[in-house]
Amino acid sequence: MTQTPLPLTEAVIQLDRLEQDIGQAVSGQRQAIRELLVALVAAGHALLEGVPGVGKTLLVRALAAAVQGRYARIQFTPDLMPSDVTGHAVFDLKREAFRIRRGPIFCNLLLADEINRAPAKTQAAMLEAMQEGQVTIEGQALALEPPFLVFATQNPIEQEGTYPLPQAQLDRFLLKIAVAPPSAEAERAAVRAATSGRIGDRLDTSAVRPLLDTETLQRLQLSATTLRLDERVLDYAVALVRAARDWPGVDSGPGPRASIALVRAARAHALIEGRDFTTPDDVRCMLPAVLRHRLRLGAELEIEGVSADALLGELVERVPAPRD
Amino acid sequence: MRLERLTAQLRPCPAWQAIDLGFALARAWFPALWALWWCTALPLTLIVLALAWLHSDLWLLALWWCKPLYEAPLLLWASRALFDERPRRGALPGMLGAGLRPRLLPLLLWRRLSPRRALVLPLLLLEGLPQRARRARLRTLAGGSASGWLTLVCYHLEAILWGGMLLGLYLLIPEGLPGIDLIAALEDSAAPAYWISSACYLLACSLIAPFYVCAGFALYLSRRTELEGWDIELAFRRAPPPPAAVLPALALLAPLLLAPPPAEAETWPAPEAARARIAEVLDSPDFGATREVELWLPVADPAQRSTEDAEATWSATPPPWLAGTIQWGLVTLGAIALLILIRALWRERSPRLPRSARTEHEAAPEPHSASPIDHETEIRRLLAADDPGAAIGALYRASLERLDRLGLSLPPGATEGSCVQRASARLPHRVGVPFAAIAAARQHAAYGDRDPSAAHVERLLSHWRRWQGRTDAH
Repeated sequence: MTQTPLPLTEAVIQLDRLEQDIGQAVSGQRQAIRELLVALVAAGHALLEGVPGVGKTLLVRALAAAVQGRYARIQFTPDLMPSDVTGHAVFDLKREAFRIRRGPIFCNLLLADEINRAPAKTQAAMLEAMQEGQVTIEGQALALEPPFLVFATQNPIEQEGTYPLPQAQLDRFLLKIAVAPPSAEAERAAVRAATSGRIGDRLDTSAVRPLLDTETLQRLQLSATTLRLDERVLDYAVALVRAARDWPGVDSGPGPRASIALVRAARAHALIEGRDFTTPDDVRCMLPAVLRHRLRLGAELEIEGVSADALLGELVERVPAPRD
Repeated sequence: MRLERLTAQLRPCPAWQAIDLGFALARAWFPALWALWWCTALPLTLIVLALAWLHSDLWLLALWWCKPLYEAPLLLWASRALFDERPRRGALPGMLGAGLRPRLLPLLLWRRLSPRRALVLPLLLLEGLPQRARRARLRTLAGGSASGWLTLVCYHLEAILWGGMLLGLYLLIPEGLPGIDLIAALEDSAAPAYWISSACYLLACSLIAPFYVCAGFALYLSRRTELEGWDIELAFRRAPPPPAAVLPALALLAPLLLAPPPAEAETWPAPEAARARIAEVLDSPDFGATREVELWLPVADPAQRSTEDAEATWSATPPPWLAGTIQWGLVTLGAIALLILIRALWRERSPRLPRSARTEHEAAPEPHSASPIDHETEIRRLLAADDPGAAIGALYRASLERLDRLGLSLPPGATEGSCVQRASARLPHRVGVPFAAIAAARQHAAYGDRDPSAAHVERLLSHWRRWQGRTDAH
């Protein structure tokens, strides 16, 4: 069945509700929620990074509660094997043949919690799934049912016993969302909500209604791809990525996949903003989330304490925006 | 001491060359010296470990303080090896015992922190002089020996080696294995890391000690060579013996050659007579007298001589004009170098745009420098040409120019949204709100392909005219 894009008004209403519901479950993370929705609408994977306890897992759980699809969660550990993620072949004694037992990756929304705790071979098991939407088990390629989105979390401060994601794997993530601690007011509200009439500290996503089924979600994603994109906006996005690539002090810059990701994210952002066209503001807004994990800063900048976000902040001020 | 059996060539040399000779000797004998160091140090390490258990700082301090004990056997071994007498295994206990000799007491007590330890050690162990004579001897030997510098350099080498080992361990332990806490390794004597650090220091000491001792010994030899002319003595000893056939003849001639003249032999002066003779010689008019001698020397051609003089003057002192030119040239070069340095630093501080972005920036249209009336004329012309999209674009650019004049600096990368944000934050409401409307209309026209109506542009234009502080004429 050929899918049709969701009309703009309906798409905006759905996304608005989604944003509000998730915002009720996770307070004080407006920017992170917005970027998570961008990843959802742009059909891209997202890596959430933040210190423990800021609500990374809750954020993804809330999103999963809103999307009526199959949701799976994998806690990444050092002894996790690739087959624990993708699945494996088992011998069926009754049929006297091997049977494929599918792993938790066969779902619509996958939460890969603390992804950097698993060794590189297990992380690499997700590469094929993330890029090609399929998994190969015993030489047999099995397609993943769309939509397939991976939301991974990692902790930036505990480096002991972790395996930093390789650049190739990082590049598969459309966005890297920095989940910062909430403001004092938002934290107060979160504490009040989490301790009033509730036993224990389980993640509560009851405020989130099941708003989107997988079909609607795909139509929403299709809507984002049909938004108007002016040539000047396209040029601006490409210029930004190319400038980041050649920026002094950057050891390894973003590749063309980053340009594609930036435009996809900008389109999704424009849809969430309720517009049927993309502006340079959308590009500018999504630039840090799209590029911060694709930049490898040189030793000189690292020593000076320049972060990727600070560098991108300077870059965006210096690369000319379209004005004609 | 059999100087002729020396395995190294002795000659008077500066202190640094002597130290270099010591280092070369240490390199040649390193395995034996290193093993000897551990033979003394290891038992002591274990004894002190048993005494100062769980107090790694005390353990390390005690081992450090007893360093002369481990160095004494090394010196004895080196002193014998230098004279081509490699000590046998049986001699080892004797050499180890040297570490416990009472002669070393000064080095373990009041001379422990002496920077001349390397030079004092051979003096104490090899000469065995009484205390007063030893003091005078040390004063004589230590002058210009650079033994203090040797101690300082070796101390730094030890520290560098120790730090290097510690850092190497810290960096090379794979992730996932328990690592070394560098702070604890330096400060917390109860931490296991401190024990590792202490072991590293001990190892560094063992590696440097052979070089330190040999260099000190070489300094000692160098000073004695300089003061006592060992090299000359050695040269005589090594001189080839006279041929055998000549010996009988020399034996026969010896009385004739060596015997003093009979008269002198008979009248060998007594000391009083010798003194009187000396006084007589000193008083004689010929002793210490000066004489003026006049003689004729050939003189060269005056022309040639003046040329030679000029050349000599030229090479000795350049003419003032040349010196001035060179001086000003150097000052100019220095100024240029300074300017280049400042420019480089300035560029370093403000990273340049990459070429691709710069080119685009250069190609980007600059805000029109036309007057407000020109802008308005242009906008009206575009409206008359039924091109409201272009008209709103021109109005947006004119607004940016106006914001710039109002002191709102907008970087080249400022998009419509960021311009509006800055204007709302820093400019009065009467400016921020109309500008936001202009920017929104411009966004719809430029990127949404949704041109505003001519009336809307007129309205926005009239707002813009109010910014300029002029009344709408229409």
